[in-house]
Amino acid sequence: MTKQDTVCITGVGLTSSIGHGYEEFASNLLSSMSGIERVSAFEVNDHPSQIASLIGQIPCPEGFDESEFRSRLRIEQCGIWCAESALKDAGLQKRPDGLRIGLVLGLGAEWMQSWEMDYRRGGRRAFDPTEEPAGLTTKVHRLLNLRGPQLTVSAACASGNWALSQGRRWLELGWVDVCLAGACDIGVTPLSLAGFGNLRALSRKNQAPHAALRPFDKDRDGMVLGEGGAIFVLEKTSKAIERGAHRYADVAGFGATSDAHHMVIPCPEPQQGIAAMKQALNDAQVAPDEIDYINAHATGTPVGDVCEAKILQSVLGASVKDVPISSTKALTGHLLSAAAAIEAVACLVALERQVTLPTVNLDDPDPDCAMLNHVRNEPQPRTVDVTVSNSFGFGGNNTCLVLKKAA
Amino acid sequence: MPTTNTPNRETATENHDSLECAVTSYATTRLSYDAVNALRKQSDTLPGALGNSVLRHSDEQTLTALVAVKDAITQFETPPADFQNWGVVFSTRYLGRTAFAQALNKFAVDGPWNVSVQVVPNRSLHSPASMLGLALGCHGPCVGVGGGLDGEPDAWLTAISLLDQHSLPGIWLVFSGWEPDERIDIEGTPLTDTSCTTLALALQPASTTNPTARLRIVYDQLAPVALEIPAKTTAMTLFENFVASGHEKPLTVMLGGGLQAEMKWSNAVTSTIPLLRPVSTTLKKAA
Repeated sequence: MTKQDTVCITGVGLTSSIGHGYEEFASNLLSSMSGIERVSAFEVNDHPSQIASLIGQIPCPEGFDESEFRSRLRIEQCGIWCAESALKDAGLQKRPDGLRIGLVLGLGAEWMQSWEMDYRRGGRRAFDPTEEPAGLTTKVHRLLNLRGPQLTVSAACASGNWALSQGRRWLELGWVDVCLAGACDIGVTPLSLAGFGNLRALSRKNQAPHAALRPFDKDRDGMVLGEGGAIFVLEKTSKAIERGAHRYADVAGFGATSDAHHMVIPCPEPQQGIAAMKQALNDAQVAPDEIDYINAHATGTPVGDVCEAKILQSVLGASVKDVPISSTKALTGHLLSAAAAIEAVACLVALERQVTLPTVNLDDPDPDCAMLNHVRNEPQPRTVDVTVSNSFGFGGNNTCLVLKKAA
Repeated sequence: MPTTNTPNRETATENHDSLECAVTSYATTRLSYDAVNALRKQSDTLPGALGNSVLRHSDEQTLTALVAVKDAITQFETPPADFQNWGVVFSTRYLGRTAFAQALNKFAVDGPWNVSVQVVPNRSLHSPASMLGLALGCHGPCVGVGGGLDGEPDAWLTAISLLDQHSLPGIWLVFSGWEPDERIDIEGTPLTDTSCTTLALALQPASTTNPTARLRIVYDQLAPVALEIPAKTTAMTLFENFVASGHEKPLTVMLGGGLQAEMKWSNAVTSTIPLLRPVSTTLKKAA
């Protein structure tokens, strides 16, 4: 592809505990506002972990019937809001009939969440599948009257990076004119909070929600579940320039591998994580010393953070002392399938505001992670042209996404 | 930051690429509820010998796929030395519903401390692809796609574009589901007769010699943008009809957005691979 034919991001729609739109999210991220709190949406006294990063009421998009919107399950509200507000942000709310807009959504446990939400409302969808044949991607596709192909993809917590990669690919192939790509997850439900809690994957610092999630810190004891989503409008750069669209960044590189080691535990020998990062850097034609900021996966689990530190050390080599690294999950919580998508938004903030983002609660770095150049507690001004975002997931999924300042 | 102009679609509609790959092996499996659950104690007979303690938590659609892939591995014209760099694209329908129904019921009775830690890792959309990758030692991308009665087109789109993009030696393209999609009771037991089915296809780059069939995705302005939901026919049934046609008629799958997948038997080689668990005498004869 020529330089003009790179794929860029021209619109962002999101909902998270620290904002329902890009500007609000950016502002709260830069002021290190934590979205983690005690769960009040359902009874949690008997749960091992009682905190989460919750989004509250999802805004109803302009032009939609509020009561009809509220009657939908929250996972549907999330997808509709993110997709519609992304199109609006890109100036594509009103568009020509023939425009082929594709839709790629990362969704990991859509059906289980839908069944549980429906069950809590007295429904029977979990027991009779004929009640609900269409998934969220289809519903959004139809509601927004999109004309391109659609795809639901899951690589567990790496699903968002996959969605962006597939959206870029469809544009390269000419299968779509524009592609909506991102991920949503409303994973803070009674059953998932219990399941992850019993797995001992969640922090039990219930008395200190804002300080609970501590990526790379010696005192970390697990992740904190979050909910939300982010969907991006992707276009070829030449077309975006032609119509005068705002370009947030270029989707420059992607890499993906699998551990083939365990359904939950990351492989202690991190060759496949290293391979995924190297693939992405190679795809983006970026050398380790050209990276200006890395948004780490770092969920705050004892095993995972050390494993990722080893990956980063190996890939960055001598640059490990220089490349700024942080995990924004300490503020947003872990959005599971949507984690990579919301962290891609964090990378856009770094590129647009020319700062590196901090890991909050990193008071005493784990000696096994001390080789990294941690950005601690406050954003740091810096020239940021290239960002890298790692996302790893259950089942041994490893992904890496490179975003570059728009060419 | 809204802008007022809109993109021009002229080049995209006229400048679309088709993708092609080779189908080098396949198998189908159809198992009853009891038969598929019996596999949980037969780890040694399945790829990877993952252990009965692992299979105990796997979804029925995953277990059926392990059988299908095991059968397909024996059918390669030129067997790959290993599957180390292969990927997996796995389409499921309503994955995990049997286990989740039990979990909903158990949670209502016992509360949070008795919720199994195995439901999320083994019954999420990515899980069957990861488990198959684990069994075969695949370090390529392993992703789940689709999920409902509308999701099978996702698998064709993803598998072929990954094979083209990532320089992989192969992709396992797998479709699993219950036929018919069963109604279940609060213990997760089907209330009607149903089978768990899998179609497993081994895809390799188009340059592969002696393929069984060739598969491609093309853009066709006459192909439908929106698809009927639920689809009238599953990928498994389409493929069985393709085999039963005596290698005459191509398999065509509408993928939405003006895209369609087409599979034709290779000109060079007429497949002699049988359907391993045919559903009718007609199919046995055809194979």
